[in-house]
Amino acid sequence: MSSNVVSTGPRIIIRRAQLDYPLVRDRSSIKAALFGALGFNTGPRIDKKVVHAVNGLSLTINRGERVGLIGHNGAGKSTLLRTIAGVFPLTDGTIEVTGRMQGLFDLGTGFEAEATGRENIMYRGLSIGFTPKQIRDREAEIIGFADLGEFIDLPMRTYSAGMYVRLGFAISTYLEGEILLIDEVFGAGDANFQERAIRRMHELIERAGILVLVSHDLGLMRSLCTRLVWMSGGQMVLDGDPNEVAEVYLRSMKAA
Amino acid sequence: MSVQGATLQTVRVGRMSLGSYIGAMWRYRHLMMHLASADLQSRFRRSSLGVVWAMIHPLAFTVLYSFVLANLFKQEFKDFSIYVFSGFILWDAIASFVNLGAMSIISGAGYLKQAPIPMLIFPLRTCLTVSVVFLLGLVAFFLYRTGMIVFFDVDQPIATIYWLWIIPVVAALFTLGSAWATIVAFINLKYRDAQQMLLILMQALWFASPVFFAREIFDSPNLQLWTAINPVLAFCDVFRDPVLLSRPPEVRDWIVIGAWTAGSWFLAIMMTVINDRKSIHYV
Repeated sequence: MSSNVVSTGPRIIIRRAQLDYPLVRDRSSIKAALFGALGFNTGPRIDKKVVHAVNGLSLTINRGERVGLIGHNGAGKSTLLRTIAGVFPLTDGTIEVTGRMQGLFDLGTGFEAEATGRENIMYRGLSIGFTPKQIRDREAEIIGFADLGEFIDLPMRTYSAGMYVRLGFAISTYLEGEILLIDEVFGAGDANFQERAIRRMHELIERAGILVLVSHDLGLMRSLCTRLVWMSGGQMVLDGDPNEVAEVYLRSMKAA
Repeated sequence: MSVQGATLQTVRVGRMSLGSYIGAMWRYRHLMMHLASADLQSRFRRSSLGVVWAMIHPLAFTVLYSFVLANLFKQEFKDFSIYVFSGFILWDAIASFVNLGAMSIISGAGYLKQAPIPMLIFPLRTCLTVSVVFLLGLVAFFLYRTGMIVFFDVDQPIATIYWLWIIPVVAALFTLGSAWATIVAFINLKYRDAQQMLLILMQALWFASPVFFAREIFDSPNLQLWTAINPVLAFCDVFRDPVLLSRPPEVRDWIVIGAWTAGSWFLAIMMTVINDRKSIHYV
């Protein structure tokens, strides 16, 4: 990322953002490879080789706004979130971000399976922007919040899926930024953990200057967000009051 | 860790200058070092002998290869085994840079999809691990050679001042290996067949280099051009000259290594600039 103007107040400005990515067709079977070499197509025909995941979208989010992104699967919501975070590169257009970002996506991935939970706290913390000292200072709190007991010192390959998410959630929510990007993490962990997780999320959201949230839970979106953006095909369909947008969205779903 | 109320920077997401990239590499340096450490621990986890295997492994293979090849080439086992050991640890490092390097970015998928981490971190992580294993093999080589000199009357000095050349040799090995690991990592992202082809390529390179075969074979007029440009041969020479022959490495070999390193890093940097982040969809 190139550093530009120094200013106060978090802000996200998205101008005609375009993100195209190639469809990678897997021809890993020997049969497909042999017939393909002889000119016979054995796989399903794919008409488009590029997916327009974000398609010329423009959006400005100012300090104090809590924006929810809704839409059907494949609308581009999670892709847009990761593009704002810098994980996916734009094909065209620009995104300018003022403020420190904290992304909460795929909490259960990005761990070293042979390493212990305690060791993975360090690796995961480093990958999301902590320094080693910050991680060591917070390690006890993270372990306490994850509540994994003796499992914290066992290899993560012994963990259940829920335990992966618990640890990922505990690590990720101890870094605070002015801009919070959340992708479907409100259902994290088992029922026992969820109450504490939801409380923790609310604390984070209260402290963040900007929230961008992706979720299929419209009730949650209405309660948390000040603004709802309905996306479809990588484009914005509607942007406005959460209740109004949610109503229009639900009507269109029923009509479809 | 919150910086609420502080003056905030505006960044243009997805646009990174070379200086910004280097800055990002510096910020993620702790991650690279910790993951390299994790790789080493993982390699020997639950093993009774642990890291000692990094020394036993080359020793065992040396004895095995030397026993067979000494009989085949009618060589004295004692001297030949030292020659084989020196080639084995060198080749093991070079092959690992390439073969493990090919999967290095793919293996970092979980991290890369969470945050905009520079992809170059992952080939360098792999190369750090390979280099540590090489150093452990070097220790085993030194102990084996000393044992052969002391107990089996091999006619070589235990150590000379020329052994200090090992330091630049290791540095050069890591530098060139990192470039190769980076190149193959990006190629393998998009073309997964590359990893399979590399196995064949490296095997061919093994046959075409004095890893186990006598160095004199490569002085043949038929192999003049190949001998002049082969970087593996050059590394074998710069390593064996001080360690086995008690003489400084030849300038010619350093020129070959230097040319390959400069060219490889030019290509590696170009591939990183062009492909970093754009390749995320292939991870």
